[in-house]
This record gives sequence, structure tokens and C-alpha cells, in this order.
Amino acid sequence: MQVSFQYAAQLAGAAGCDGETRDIDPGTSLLAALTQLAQSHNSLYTDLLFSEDGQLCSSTLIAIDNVQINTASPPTLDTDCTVTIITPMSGG
Amino acid sequence: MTTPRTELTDEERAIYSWQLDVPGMGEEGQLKLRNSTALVSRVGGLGGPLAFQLVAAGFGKVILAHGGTIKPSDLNRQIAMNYEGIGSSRVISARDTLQRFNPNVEIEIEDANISEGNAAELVSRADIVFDAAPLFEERFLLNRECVAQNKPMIDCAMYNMEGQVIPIIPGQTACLNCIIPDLPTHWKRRFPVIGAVSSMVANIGALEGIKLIAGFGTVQAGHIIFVDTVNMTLQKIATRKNPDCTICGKDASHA
Repeated sequence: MQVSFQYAAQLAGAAGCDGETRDIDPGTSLLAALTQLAQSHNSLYTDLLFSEDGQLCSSTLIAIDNVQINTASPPTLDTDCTVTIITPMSGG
Repeated sequence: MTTPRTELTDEERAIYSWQLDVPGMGEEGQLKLRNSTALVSRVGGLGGPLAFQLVAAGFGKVILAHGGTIKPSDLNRQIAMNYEGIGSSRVISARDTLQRFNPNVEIEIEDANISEGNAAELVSRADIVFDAAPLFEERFLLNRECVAQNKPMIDCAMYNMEGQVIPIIPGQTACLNCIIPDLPTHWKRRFPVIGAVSSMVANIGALEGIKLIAGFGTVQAGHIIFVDTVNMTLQKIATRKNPDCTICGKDASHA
């Protein structure tokens, strides 16, 4: 299946693009998909997405098809979808 | 406490005549704005133009909270201030700019950023709170007080060519802590942004607050309004209320 990953804020800078699409097997967990994806990116990408214990970073907003997910229990990916990832931003 | 106004003055009808014709606004909506107080946390690149729009729209009172003095690096985006004010108080400069623009609005200032020492008192004086602060500690404090005092908060943020606005209604929507439960470890205080982006995000935030107070349109409560100005797209992301949130969850002391 096709999963589009959309990057925003610092993560877009770390990825060097605002998104990419990958072929992913149905039933793959979001955590596994992002872990695999991180292998093709730099260390900042990994640092922004994952905490030291390898779990998804709680302060990064992740949404699937425009619905925020619980990063503490990331879902599996079963159909074509868009994963939006927004790292924290603020005023100034 | 002042008695709520039941009628607009002729001068107010003249000033706001164009927006009185906006469907849903009318004199009733305008009076709701006139009888409301908004707190704006920080009046920099986001909060300055946001406060500008609240003053232009005719809120009765706007409270501006911002510490520090104007630096040259503020002036690509902090349009409530100006070059002549470099070295002087940010919030006084912003107040003077806004007061000149609309002398009918009462503008109060707090020459300090949101802190444990002033957050509760400032939020208690407002009907709606606009968060445009850079530091997450300030934003979390404001969120905590808004939840505790059941006040709506419009959280505004930006980075590079992107921005987001989160209308938060305690008891109904996710709070800021549901969305960002921890201090970000890799966020940097200085980040890239163009003033036109911060103003656009500010205007979206102001509009959400104006609609909420005046009582028309659809406030995007429970959503993040995400704007990407590189591709000129606007996206609405449904937020997730965390039942275990330490601020608004079932066991939180402030809920």
C-alpha cells in the first residue's frame, strides 16, 4: 500500500523535503514504518521523531488522515493513508 | 467591573460599519466584542498583529503581556513596534501603536511575560486568551490557567513558512498539554520566519477568537489549523483529548 509522509516545521528541514511516499506492507506498525524511514535520513530526523527509548516523541504531533494519533500507542497502517508529522512550533 | 453595554455609540457604528454588515456579526456580535476582554500573551511577530486585529475589531479591552525591550532583530515581523523604539519597552511601544489606531479600545499592559506570578491574575481578567509566546513554559502555564478558569484559549505558533492555530475550549477540546505533553527537547528559541507568515497566522488566530466571542461562523475547536505558505495549503487536523492529561484529564486537579 502507499503511505504518504508529510513533514512540517523542523522535521521538514531535517528531511530536506516536505514529504515522501513509500510502499509499506499492510499491517505494519506506524512505529516500525517510521523507524525504517529514519534509516534513510539524518540523525536530526531521528532525534525529532524518537525519544531515547526508541518510542515516538510525545511532543511531536502525528496525524493519520488528519486525525491526531496517540504517540504512546501508535496504530498499525492497514490502508493507503497520509501521515502528517508536525514538530513543535511556537510564537515569537 | 463595568456594566455591559447594551448599545453601540454612533461613533462605534461608524468605525465598525463595514464589519457590522458581515453575516452573523451585526450589532449583537459587535456588542459582544465590545463587552469582552482579551489577553494577548506576547505582542511580537504573532501577538502584535493579532492584538492589532482585536483592537481593530473592537474588543472592549485588550490586555497585552510582554517583557523586554525592542531589538533590531524583532523588526522583520513585530509590526506593532518600530525602529524608533529600539531599546525601549516592547509592550509600551505596542500599546502606543494600537491605541493610536483605535482610541476607543481600552488597552492595559503587563510589562512582563507570563509567569507563575501573574498568569492566574491576568487570565482571571480576560474572557478569552490568545497565546503567541515563544517559550513552551509560558504556553503551558497559560494553558493550565485557562483550563483551571474555564477560559477559551487560541494558541498560535509558527516555524519557517508554516504556522498553526489551535482553538482550545476547556472541557470540550484537547488542551495544549494533550497535544504537547512535554517540553520539546530539540526546539530552538531562534527559528526562521518571515513577518508575512507570522501576520497571517496571527490573523487566523484573531478570526477564530472574534468568531468565538461574537458568536458566528464555525470556530475550529478541537482542530489544529495548519497553514503551509510554501504550497499555500490549509489543513485541519482533529486533535485528540487525552483522558490521562495531567492538566485537563479525568484525574487532573485543574479539570
